[in-house]
Amino acid sequence: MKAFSLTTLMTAGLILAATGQNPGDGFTNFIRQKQYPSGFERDVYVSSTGQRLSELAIDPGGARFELWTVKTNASAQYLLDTRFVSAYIPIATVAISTGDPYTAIPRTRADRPFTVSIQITGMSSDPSAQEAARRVRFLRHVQSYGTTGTGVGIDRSQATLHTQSFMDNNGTFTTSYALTAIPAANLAKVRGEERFSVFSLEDYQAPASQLASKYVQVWPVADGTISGIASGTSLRFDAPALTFTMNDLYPDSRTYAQIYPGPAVLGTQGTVIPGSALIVYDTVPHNRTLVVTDWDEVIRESGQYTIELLTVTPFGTDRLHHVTFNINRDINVNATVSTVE
Amino acid sequence: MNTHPIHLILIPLAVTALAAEPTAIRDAATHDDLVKVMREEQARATTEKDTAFIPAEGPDPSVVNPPGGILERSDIIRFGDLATIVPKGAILHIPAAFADRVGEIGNARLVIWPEFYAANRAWIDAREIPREVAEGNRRLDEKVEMKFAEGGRLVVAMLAGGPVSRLPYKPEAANPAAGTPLETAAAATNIEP
Repeated sequence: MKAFSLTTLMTAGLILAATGQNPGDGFTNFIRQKQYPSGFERDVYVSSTGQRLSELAIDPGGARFELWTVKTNASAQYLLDTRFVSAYIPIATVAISTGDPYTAIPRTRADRPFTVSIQITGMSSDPSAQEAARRVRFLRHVQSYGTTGTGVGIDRSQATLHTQSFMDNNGTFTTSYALTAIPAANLAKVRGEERFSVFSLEDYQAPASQLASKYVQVWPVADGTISGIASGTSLRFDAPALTFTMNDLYPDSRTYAQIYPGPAVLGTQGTVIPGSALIVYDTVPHNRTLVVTDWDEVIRESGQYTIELLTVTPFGTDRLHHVTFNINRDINVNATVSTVE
Repeated sequence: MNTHPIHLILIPLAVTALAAEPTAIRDAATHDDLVKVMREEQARATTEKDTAFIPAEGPDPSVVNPPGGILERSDIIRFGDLATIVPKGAILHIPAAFADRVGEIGNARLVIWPEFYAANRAWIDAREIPREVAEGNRRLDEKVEMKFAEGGRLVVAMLAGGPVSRLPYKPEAANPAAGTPLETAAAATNIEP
């Protein structure tokens, strides 16, 4: 039995948040309402954020609300979101949580798990009701951005349907994924997005339509190298310039090199090498190269030392590379003392 | 997707501040590490089936029934520096003098209807039509349509304050033999029309 009546649905609050481009970026947002089964269309206007009531009663066949952003010279158009509402079709919401608290777009890293939560209400338990009132279809799409892509201007109709399943109960359902399913030759270097959607089933009133959808961006694991000094090297007085090459630094990360005495031991807290720290705060990963000279001023005495390149992200601290070497700056004076009688 | 200017900041972080931070450090994951995790995940998925998700097959509905582009489903009206879009079928009458103001955006800037209409009320008649007319279940009164030409203004169909398409009149839809869509749906869902 549905939790709301047709009358309630006619005046149901319609929440359409414009999460994409805004007019200030050279785009204009439009909301197009398509009524089923008649098929007539009407434009709806709302502020860039907020909510308002649907001014039209929703027909028994339902209505699809499409949020579009169109370049102000009409050269490009993007469908940001769609929602289908109807008298008997269930209502669904999808939420994705990751280890990254970034709120604009859910995002995570290729080696990190994430969780998808689906909430369904209004599902009929009446076995005599049409199938579209008794179940929905849950879809998982994957789409790679390629080896260097950022997802800008991506054609989401090209996404691959990874799995699909029916859901036929009201409630909140949570499913966790240890890793992304976006295909890649190197799983650590995945760049792409996964989209989780709930669709209604097609029936005689309306075609299968999107009830809710969310996507999560997946960025690659960073890698890096320390060059200028090789493991096992013995240094005397002149320290060579160090080059830190870092690839795919996470959009919210700080990366630095540290040095400590002794062999490489994971988890050791060392001293940050001056000039090696880098902060990335963006929406996409970055590659960077830093050259550091005169770094040996932090070395006080001869012995074995380890330099590590570390990156700190919302998921923790990762070691990208390390080298262990020796420094001998002791001066040994060999002398003979003799007397003359 | 929203993009923001790149923010890359080189900061000589205080040596002691970072060095004193208690953090668990691990080696960055490699492809081989993740292959192991993936195999474990696949093994878990086969033994711990979630009954809330019933495996399904069939065509991808997001591909089977995608909404066409909004520009292809709209008419462009422009004048001066501004232009807007309305659903195809919303323009009920185009005076010959304004024919060149419909179709192409030219160098105009696209804005939403309320902004465009506010600047062009002098030559646009935003005319509310009954919902049945928009649905194609009823004709617009012929006398009303004839007055469009006399008015000399471009006429846009409106419903509840928003531009609306007017579907071609379907006589069979006006008197359906099997009951109205509302009655049919109500019978199927036990909801009173």
